[in-house]
Amino acid sequence: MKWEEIAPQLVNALSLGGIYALIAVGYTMVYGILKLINFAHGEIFMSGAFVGVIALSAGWSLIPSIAAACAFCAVLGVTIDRVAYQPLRSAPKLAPLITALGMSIFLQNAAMMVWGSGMRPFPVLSPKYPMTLKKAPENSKALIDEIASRLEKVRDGKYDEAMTGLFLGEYRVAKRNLEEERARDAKSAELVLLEKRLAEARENIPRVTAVTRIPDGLLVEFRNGTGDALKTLSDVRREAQQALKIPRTAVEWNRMEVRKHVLERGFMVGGVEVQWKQPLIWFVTLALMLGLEFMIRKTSVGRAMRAVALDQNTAALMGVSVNNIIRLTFVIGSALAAVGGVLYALKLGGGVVFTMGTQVGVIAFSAAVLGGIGNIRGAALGGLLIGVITNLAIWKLGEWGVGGVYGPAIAFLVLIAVILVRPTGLLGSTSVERA
Amino acid sequence: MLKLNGVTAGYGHLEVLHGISLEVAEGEIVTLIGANGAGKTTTLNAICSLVRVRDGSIELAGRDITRAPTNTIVRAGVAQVPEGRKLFAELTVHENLDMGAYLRKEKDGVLADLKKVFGLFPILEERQWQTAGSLSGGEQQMCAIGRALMAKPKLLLLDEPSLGLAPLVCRQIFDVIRELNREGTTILLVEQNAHAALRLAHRAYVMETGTIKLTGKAEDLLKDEKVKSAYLGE
Repeated sequence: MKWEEIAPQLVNALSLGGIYALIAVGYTMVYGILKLINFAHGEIFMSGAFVGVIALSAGWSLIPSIAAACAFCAVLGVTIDRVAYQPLRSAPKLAPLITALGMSIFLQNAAMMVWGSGMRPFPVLSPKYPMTLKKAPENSKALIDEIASRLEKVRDGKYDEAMTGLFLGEYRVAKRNLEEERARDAKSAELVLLEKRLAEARENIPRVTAVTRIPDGLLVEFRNGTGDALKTLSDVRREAQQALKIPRTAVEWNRMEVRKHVLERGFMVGGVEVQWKQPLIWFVTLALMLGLEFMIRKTSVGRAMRAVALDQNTAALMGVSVNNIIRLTFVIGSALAAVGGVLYALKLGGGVVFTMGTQVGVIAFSAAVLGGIGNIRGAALGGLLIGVITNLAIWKLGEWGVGGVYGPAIAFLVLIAVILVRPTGLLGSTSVERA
Repeated sequence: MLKLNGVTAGYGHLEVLHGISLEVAEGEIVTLIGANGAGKTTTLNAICSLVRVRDGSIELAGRDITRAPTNTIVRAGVAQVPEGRKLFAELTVHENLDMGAYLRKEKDGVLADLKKVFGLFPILEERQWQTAGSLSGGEQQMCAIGRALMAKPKLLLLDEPSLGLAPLVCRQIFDVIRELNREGTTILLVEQNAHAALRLAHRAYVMETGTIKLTGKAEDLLKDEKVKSAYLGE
């Protein structure tokens, strides 16, 4: 096996494992406190992915999109608990379990009704100027207004907007229209003004003349209306650099590269290309896990959470509001699932669909069981292991011609093997309490 | 300080308390004695709203706390040392003591009380980084009392603190209870060890199958023939 072959698989496996870990933590936290397997957790993950993709498609950047998904899922998680689980707190354990299954089915169908049954594509994050070429307006005045408004944008330094849909033909159309109108009414004051504005635009607006694909983006060439080098091109270049935050070397005399969004680009390490989004997923996952670990181990609220998980009545005798702690558990678990959802959508890049929570949910739940249900470190470890095993299995099975779809089956076999030897999972405790 | 008026409570269809009335004045040690299953623990749990009160009322310092959420009752100054210690076994001794002070915000006061608990039970200071589950029975009881003290309670409810302890440890714990009372903590003590409890307490209630059968000064009950034969084994 060559490094060049295994490295990309490992990169993938680690980010998939991190995402599974984020979701598994939610299962394990709720189980730890309520001894309930929250089957609706997979649907919370799916909702997070949807909200994230919708926000990204609306042009939000990644962090606000993730924040929106977290907020939505936190409210969703607490609402599910309030509506479906809280009334059954003192009921036999089977009742909330069945309610959780029902909640899962309900949420999946609600998502289908609200967000549709088709796949919602993950948006292209790169700037899209060459993609939105518009047809030039027929009316000369409208056209010149359009051109003039772009001129304003150039003056404001908004090159990305100004260049949208610009192409040489527009000027020819505008010029011809103007000439036709002059033939009808040579002395119109408005016409003179329009001509002046057009001339000004010709000199100053950089226009796209050619778009070429290059390895990690697009190369956009632009020139002025007459085809000469623009008078103010050096200014244009400098400002364009600042506006688009691109390196100086990327802008040549009258060419500019429109670089892909950083999350759609990669970098080379040891002859292997790594997508920037992969280390981003590792970093986010690691940071959240460490933050959670700190909260649980070192803060008063975290201590109260552990106390509630061990003994609700006694925790209440300490003055802990058990219901608030349960709510907080749902908030944290659901927010982490939301982050997992957005990162999962980002990682796969294809899109999101209302059924996606089922499979990922089952895998993340298995991860929680593998690590020892109720144990947060165990969920992180289990998630990572299941992610790595699934990914490597998909790859190798695919290579052997068995079919990558059996990848998760291998992960489940490993789970069964581990549970046979250690029924409490890898880090699960067989807690012995002394009288 | 604490007043129960005809409190009825139970679990599911089973009614355990059939109209309990009792009173604990400020600065008193009152003990509640009786056989297994008489409803002593249920009485304490009713005071703390861990068991739902069906009828009757409970007052704390003139305030009605019947069916109030447990954490408000704790906030009002009630701490319970539950039956069987109920320590958080996987948390360290130190963390257990911190849990006792969960509602308190003044760091200095909490630190001072931690020092005080370590002064009362030096073994806890030695074992503070061990998990509570690894302590011996007597140490666990000390930890449970220490945890309740960390709340700086006005009223301390103790449920069978001597259960399963060696006589020496038992005496040490009763000494601590007397000491706490001398410092001004009001105490309601549930005990099976009626002899020790009656010698410690000012007043006593004798419970039988969910009702109060007898009440009076502890020293009088120590001499009462019925109490002697039923609870003191004389």
